[in-house]
Amino acid sequence: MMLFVRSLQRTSSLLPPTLAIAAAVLVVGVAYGSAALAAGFPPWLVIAVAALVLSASSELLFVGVIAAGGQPWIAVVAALVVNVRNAVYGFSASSFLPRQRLLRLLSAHLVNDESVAFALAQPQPAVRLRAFRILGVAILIAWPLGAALGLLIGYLAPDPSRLGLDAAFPAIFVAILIGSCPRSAAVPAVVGAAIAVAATPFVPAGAAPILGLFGLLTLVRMRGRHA
Amino acid sequence: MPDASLVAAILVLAAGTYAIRLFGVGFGQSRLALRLQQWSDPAVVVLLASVAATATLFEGQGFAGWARTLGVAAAIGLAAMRAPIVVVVVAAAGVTACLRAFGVD
Repeated sequence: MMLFVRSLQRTSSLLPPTLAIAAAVLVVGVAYGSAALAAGFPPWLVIAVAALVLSASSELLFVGVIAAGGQPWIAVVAALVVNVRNAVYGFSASSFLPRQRLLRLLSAHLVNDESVAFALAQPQPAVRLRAFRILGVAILIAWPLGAALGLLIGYLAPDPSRLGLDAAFPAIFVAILIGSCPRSAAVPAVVGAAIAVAATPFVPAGAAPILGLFGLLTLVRMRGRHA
Repeated sequence: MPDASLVAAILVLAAGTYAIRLFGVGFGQSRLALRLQQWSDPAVVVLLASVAATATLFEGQGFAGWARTLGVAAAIGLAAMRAPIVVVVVAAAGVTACLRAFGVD
């Protein structure tokens, strides 16, 4: 990723990193599609959810809760809790999104982990909107397409866990973080991750990453002077 | 037709998710949000790290197993060496798949 970011500064070409991230999203989409099929979701619904919700982790969680025998309403609440972080991404994105109303409304759907992180990783603020849009649209295509491929693979390979696709999902975040994480955020990130991991056995499904936000408190001392 | 409550749940999820996004985007220019923004950028990083860590180690509320954990560990190593993101992701799945093929889980 860093390599991409560097080459990006030179050529100002957003396409190679966009294709790379979209390809990774596609792989995770395959994992989601095959998991959803295994959970008994009808194929058309899997693809509709992929395009309409467009939020990998919440969809994987939603499918996971249903597959574990949970009520649909519990799955919805858990998935929405996971998506609360999109409001945070939205705050960040609002600084570079277009002012025009309809465009802004449409752009909001493209707000996700990857698109906002990619935009913020651009050294020049002027490039951020373009980066956000290109990757946002690429993910809007890659995610449902990956889900469709996953459904296909699910039909062909009855045990998708053998393909190790469940490891692809955390790996994509690892790659983005290590590539673009500012040094100042490393300590809160590690502390937050540790809190989330420690909390997971004790809180409702999907709530732990939100608790990880307490890792931000490690910034208080540094920021206190400015705020 | 699938279970009606499942379809209803999905519609609520889609509408709710969009509302959450719109909330962030809509209030992003307010004075409060400008203050929040110095927090929201590091918050993005913290959330990603938390999601990655829990998705690596847990399946539900139990340990997800060594195959997935080592697969993601391989991804961390490759990402630290600045491997392209596709290589990182495919390697994670590949290592996990290989370990499972050898009976590690």
